[in-house]
Amino acid sequence: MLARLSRAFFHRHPAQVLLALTGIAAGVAVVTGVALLRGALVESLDAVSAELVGDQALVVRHPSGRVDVSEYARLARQPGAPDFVPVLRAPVRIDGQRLEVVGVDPFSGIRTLTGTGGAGLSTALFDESGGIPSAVVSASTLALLGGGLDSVLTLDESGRQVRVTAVIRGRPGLDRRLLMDISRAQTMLGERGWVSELLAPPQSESWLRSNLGEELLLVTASSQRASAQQLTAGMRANLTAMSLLALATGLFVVYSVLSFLMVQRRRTFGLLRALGMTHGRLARLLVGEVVVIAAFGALGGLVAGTVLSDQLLRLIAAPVAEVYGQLPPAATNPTPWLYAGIWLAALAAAVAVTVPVMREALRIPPGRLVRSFAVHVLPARKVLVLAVLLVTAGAAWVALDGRLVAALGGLFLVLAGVIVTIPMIGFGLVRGLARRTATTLPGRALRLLETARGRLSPALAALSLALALAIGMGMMILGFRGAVGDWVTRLLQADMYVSLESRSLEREQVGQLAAMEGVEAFSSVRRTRLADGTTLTAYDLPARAWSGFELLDGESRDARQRFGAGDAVLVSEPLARRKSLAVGDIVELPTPDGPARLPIAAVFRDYSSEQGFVAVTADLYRRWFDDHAVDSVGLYLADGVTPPELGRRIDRLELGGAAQWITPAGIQRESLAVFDRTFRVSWALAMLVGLIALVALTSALLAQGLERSREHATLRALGLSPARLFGLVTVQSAGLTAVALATALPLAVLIHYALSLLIQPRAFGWSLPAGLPPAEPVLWVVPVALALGTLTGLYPAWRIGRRPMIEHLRAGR
Amino acid sequence: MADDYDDERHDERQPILRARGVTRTYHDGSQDICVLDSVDLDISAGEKLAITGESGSGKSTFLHLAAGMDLPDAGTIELLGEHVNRLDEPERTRFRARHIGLVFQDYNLIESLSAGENIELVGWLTGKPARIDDIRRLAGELGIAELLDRRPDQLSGGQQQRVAIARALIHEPSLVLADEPTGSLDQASAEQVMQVLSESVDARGCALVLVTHSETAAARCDRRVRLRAGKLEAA
Repeated sequence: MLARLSRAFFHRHPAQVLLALTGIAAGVAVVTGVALLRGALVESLDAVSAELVGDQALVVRHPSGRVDVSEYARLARQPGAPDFVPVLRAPVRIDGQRLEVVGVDPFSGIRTLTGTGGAGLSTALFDESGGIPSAVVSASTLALLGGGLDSVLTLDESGRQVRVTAVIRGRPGLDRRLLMDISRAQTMLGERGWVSELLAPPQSESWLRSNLGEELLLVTASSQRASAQQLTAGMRANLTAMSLLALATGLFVVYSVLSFLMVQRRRTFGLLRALGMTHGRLARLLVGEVVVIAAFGALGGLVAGTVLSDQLLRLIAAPVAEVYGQLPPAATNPTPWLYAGIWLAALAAAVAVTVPVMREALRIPPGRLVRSFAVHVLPARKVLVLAVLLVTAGAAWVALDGRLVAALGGLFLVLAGVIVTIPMIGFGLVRGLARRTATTLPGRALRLLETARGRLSPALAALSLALALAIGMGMMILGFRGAVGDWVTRLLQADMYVSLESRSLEREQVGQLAAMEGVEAFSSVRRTRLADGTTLTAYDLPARAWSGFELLDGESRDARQRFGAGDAVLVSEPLARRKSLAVGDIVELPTPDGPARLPIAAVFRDYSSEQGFVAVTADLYRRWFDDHAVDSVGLYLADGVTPPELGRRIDRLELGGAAQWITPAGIQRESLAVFDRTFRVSWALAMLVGLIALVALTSALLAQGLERSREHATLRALGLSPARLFGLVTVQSAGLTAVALATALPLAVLIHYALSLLIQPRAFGWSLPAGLPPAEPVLWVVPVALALGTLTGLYPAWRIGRRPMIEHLRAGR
Repeated sequence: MADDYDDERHDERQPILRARGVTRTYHDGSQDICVLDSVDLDISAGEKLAITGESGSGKSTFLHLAAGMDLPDAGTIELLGEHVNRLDEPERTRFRARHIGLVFQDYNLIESLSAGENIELVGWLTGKPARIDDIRRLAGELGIAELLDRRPDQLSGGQQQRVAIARALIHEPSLVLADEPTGSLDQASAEQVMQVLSESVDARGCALVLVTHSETAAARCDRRVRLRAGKLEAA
């Protein structure tokens, strides 16, 4: 009987059920999308070795990133040597997509792989029809690039081509990779005589430890995984925070939508209670309905979230490759457990959030045809006490615990504390606005909202939170963008920078560039990863380049002197924060000659890496590692010499590879483009949260429209035309949006400062210069929100305007 | 066009409301229910008419048609010389706001507005705001002068209905349509409300159509008619 009651109601109100399903699905979709994206980011760790040799594969590398083939031969010839798999890897771009060429031995390197149809891949790798080298790719990569078997792919930078001769399925670790025969890859990339790393089976660890020598590094699977996970930890934490905010907003929708469904049946519930339905049975009916709606809505959300995750992954793939040097899979990898977990959590959250609505329903007196639910509104004093408690708890957590999780948790508590006051403040504003415009339609419209406060409060809070999030995040991103722009401008002191595509510059090539006519001075940079995971950057800097460092700790003249003399190191801010390092502390660096211990002369601002790095002079680095290659060279030009002019001359030099040159302005443009790509996903999530909040507003307006149906009918009877009633409800929607915006602005500033001064330093290790928040996000969001908020009111206004007046004039309708 | 109507243009000798052959049928699935069947009725200016009849006899339907809230399937309703059923919806709404006062069984006050604001509401709807002195004078006449700042949920049923009567009279309509105004009140309150309504209508010289089950209420009117199965008959 209970099921029949529910079914009959749902059949009669398909639009409302659809709205409820949409609300729940939207919240679940964002959570699912982000959960899958997080998984993909974790999987973006260097999965090639796992695919080629196995999960526990060992990797042998040289600090310079290149292993001489003769070194490989020396190792392989030693007694007891394991079966090495030499691999050459180089980043490339095809159709703007970041990919990686992975050169392997066609026999030893791909034993565990088969192409579509079970064909062996060795033949496919040797295939060189038409003089174009062959490549094997995963099916998802091919889908990403929009090609098919036998299609020819062109590398963006060099224009070189490869032909797809086989496709692999079910190997997400090889997504975004072009698997090639290593010797053809070496030739194509100008890397003859070099490999990037040697893979070895896990059982060879002890042999490798005793035979590798001091120059080569052994990286175990677990340390590789840990370091890759750490790389994206900040980004994943921020994504999680965003998805939780989306979930919170989604739960507001669930509350609004389900209370809307409840409002429609107040008469039925009153009658059922009069006819003898107990509290328990009514509660079972309501819980059953919520579970059924949430179950189907969440299922829809899982499907939508999976689609969403792939879209988010597309957004995030390029910045992850650019910023972290990791290539995430081309598609996410959902598991039944993840789906089941999210689905069950959604059911539990939906039931939990509707407890207040159910309590309302259970309070309906038997037989009484109540006109409306008296939604309980907490008294102002209780609201303030709750707010103070939440804000204090949040602030205390942040102050007492230096971890990122504490910053995010503390921020959540503070936000929750502010959010509980928003309905109180918001409706205070509504009253004020109504008073000022008392005799106008907007004034009347806002005045009429007063009695719907209980119903509209959650939607107002949700909308305010979503708007504050969008504006606050926008402020942080723009502020951060400005800081990055300033930092790049200050850092780049040379007139132009030269590098080679996919490889380093050797000593002779640096000499060639430095000796060019019109070049007054040069700088160079070499970045390498040490055995203990520390990134070391070696600088060769002329005196004028020193001003590029913005010191956050340390005295400039002293630091410069000691750094230049090789008596001290500099440390970038993220590393200093991560390892709690300060000026005067000693840094220990593993070198072939044993650990080198040097004091820190200064800590400087740097946004190039979340992990941070230790900076030393190039002289010191070469002395330690005997590596004379550099990643790029900065050229300081004589007066009258322009970068394009010198660039043309560089193009004519024989540097052993395709030379690329760029001006500081170009680097700044590219850096900001990378920056913008990095934050696209944040914008996308903020927009989704905003859309969910608008669904909440729609359902809340519909609910209050239903509750106020008699009032609206009375106004119509007394002479309010349908057009003015439409205007009245639309004004209410726009007014609520305006009030939500007004309450969102201070909250946005709070979010901006919390993200800039608290979350960023703890998540990524860098601080942002303090200053006033940029105003642009306010200028963007306010008109859009007002327009959308007004549009959101159109449907409820239309519904309310169409209701038969006479039917609703009577009480209890 | 409806707004241009001038009360003074109306000939006092002519009925203020003239219904001719008014028929209203509702469709319930495949069944047609004729609620009003060729009803003819005239009401003169200042006249008080009681319409009685059993539940479902069409009393309220007639009131809704007279107010222009619904349209007849056949026949005409002429109010102050204007064919109400020939006006379009916005015109009917404006006409109703200007010339008719409505009193409902369940008071239908706007919960978020105070008693005073509820009375003031009609002035806003007609575009002719009532003066505060007029509101106070009328409220004093109806015995609710001290209650103007209270919200509806702070008033008794009888007090709420007095506020509703004030709202119906504040714009000095030509016709007041009252649908079971004492239906939700106890006997003592009902009598007080009827007395107040009757006196106020008399004082303003406007016509009253009272739909009621109450013999006592009907007895206060000048004339009584009865609706039975959609047909009008003398009571």
